[in-house]
Amino acid sequence: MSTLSTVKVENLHKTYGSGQVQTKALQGITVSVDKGEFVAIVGTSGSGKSTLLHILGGIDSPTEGKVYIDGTEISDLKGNDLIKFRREKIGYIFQDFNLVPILTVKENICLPAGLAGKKIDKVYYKQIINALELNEKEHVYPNELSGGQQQRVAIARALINKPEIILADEPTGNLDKTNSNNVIKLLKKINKDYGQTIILITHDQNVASEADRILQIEDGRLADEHNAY
Amino acid sequence: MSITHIEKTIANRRIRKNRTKSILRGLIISAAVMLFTAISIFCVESEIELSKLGTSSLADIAYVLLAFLIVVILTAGVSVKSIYEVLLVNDMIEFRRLKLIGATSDQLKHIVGRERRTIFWSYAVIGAALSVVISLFFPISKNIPAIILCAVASLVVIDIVVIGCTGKIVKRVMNVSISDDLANIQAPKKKRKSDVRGLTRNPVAFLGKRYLFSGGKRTILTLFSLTLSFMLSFVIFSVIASFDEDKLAKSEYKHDSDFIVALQGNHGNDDEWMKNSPFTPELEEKIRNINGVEDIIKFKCLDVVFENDKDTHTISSGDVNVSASSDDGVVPIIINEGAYWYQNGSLKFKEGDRIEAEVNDGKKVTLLVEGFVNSPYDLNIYYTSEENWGELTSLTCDQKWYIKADDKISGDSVKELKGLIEPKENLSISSLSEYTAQLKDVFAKVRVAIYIVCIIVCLFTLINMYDLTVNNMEKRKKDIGIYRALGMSDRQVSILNYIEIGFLIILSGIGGIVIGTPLGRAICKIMADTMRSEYLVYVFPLRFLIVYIVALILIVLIMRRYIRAYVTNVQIVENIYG
Repeated sequence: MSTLSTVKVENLHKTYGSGQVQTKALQGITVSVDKGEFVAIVGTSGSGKSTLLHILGGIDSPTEGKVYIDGTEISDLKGNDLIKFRREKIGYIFQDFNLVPILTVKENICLPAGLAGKKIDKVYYKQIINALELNEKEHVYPNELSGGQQQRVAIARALINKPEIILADEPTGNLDKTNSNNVIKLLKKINKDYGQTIILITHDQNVASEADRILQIEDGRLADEHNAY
Repeated sequence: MSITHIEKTIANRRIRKNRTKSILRGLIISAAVMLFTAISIFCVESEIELSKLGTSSLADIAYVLLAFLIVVILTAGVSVKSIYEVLLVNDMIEFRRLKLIGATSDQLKHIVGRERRTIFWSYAVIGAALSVVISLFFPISKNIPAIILCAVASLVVIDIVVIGCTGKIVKRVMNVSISDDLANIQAPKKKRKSDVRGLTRNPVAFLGKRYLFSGGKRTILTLFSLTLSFMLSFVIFSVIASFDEDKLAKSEYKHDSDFIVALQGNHGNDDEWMKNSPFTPELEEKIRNINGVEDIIKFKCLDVVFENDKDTHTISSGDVNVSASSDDGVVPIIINEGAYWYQNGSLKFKEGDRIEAEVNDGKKVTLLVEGFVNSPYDLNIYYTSEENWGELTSLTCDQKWYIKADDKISGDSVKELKGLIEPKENLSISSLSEYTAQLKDVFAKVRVAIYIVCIIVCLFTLINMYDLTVNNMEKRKKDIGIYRALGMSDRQVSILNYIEIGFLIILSGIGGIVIGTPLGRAICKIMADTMRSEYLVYVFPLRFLIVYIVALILIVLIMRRYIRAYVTNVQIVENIYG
């Protein structure tokens, strides 16, 4: 295993259902991502890219294979150990934002820190909301925001605990072109400024082309790998 | 427009898909119909019996049960509504899809309606049938047409309640728009400033509180239903517990007596029986000679007509402190100013007043008011001592003999005493120990009946709470997934789900006790005053409270199991993407 690898996946399999109605979502994926790398995973709908991201994030478990994050095999972690590991190391950005509707923007952003029992780093918080242009929206509820604004809140929430890895599941999937470009620019800036590893799922080649490396998944297998630039 | 085959198929498939919830819904409906039918049968049959007997004791119970009916409707309604709500809200996406492929609002209404009817009639009929069987064991004369009528009426009433409770949700289904946002929790309408300090100090308590206050009307309705059902059971238990059977029995057995020998039937102050009274000196002597008999206290009554108002009044003999009557025929009396009819009558006297009166054998006497006593639980007004009785009349006016016995009176002596009285047609004998046992038996039966009703009402409350937990988990499935993805531990997920329900339980319990205690006291006082009884003294229903708390602990344990199973078995990704 490379010392630079933050994420390493070995022979990953995921099967849904059993018997005759089995669906093989992942079929032996092996890949590694280096620290500070910005990787885009592309593939058609149902190719298994979201499943791969969920397993990397520890919110789903593999049927077979191993996932190492920062040298720790996460499939070995159970219960609260996995939860603690996940909240320290991983920030998650969902396609449909998944903001909590009963919390304001500020509360949504600070939620991971609250759950981790951490104090809010006010300077860092200010930096994030300034960078994401959310200063004016701190005390509003998610339903009062546009799609682009909601995605920016989701990004801020993923950043608040300063995780080493950010996993983004089609972060531009529900956004128009302008907002998509803004979100990608922002992720690149975060990657550059804070040195966080970013793994992003997309089916948009323009978005993928902004990444350092593109991984192509087809039918649960890694089909192709190339540098975007 | 009648329901089509495809609408029926979709409705039936939905019932099968949501099997657990359908069963829960059916059980609530069945229990509601059963309770409603049983109580209404009891009420109607007791009313029919009342009209024959002309007594009011059953009517009081019937009114209490009617109050229960309202609570049953409310709690059952809230339960059914909440289950429907979560089912339909979670299935909005399904209805949206149906609309997308061309289903009309009316067709969606048919599907939901068919689903409701299928579950209702499958379970409601069982509930009605069970209650009809139960009603056959009621200690009232059976009235078959009344039973059938009550069962049918209850089915109709509960069906209307279910339709009423689900009407708004069905409208939501009908009005579902294809482009509607999928979120099923509405954001709070009220603007508030972000509270990050609260969130970081205790994120679980913070979120629990937020959910509670974002619940709006539903939270208020659940709280109201929980408080009302708890309070009602609490008050009824306190009233039932407040009856002191020993005191009630002793209130009849005056002068600390153990036996009462009384005239059979209603003789009033009829001259004829006074002339041939069964209370003879020979009988008195024989009773006094029985081993263990300590004393006989005679209760006498005599009708007199006061000259100043020409009304008939009754003078009784009693253990009162009055002077002996004088030679000129003046009989000193004591007035019980606490007696209901003295307080509410027009005649008022003061010490030293002389009342000219005529006794029912025609003798003229002068009554001298020598003093007053205040005994509100006694209905008799005018008293004189037994020693003065000879001055009032030569007739034997004995109505009752109170017999005092020592503690060691043997069974043979009791048999001997009964043997003296029972053969006499116009006399009856009753004993304190038997009367107390009978009363205790009657009260035990009434208590069991009320306990059963209360337990069923509590059961509704508990189902409601369990249902609320399950619904919350379902409704907040996605939120829980987000929390778990963001680092909320399984324990925190469990606690989050306890907070809202815990708050509702504690608040409804406190509310029930705070309102129920003075209400119970007030009801006991009103009943004691109305019945002029001293055997009804408020008792805090500690036993009920313990049973209720035990039931709550049980439901919390069940909920814990459910939440744990949910957290263990459901992957975060399932939570979020469902």
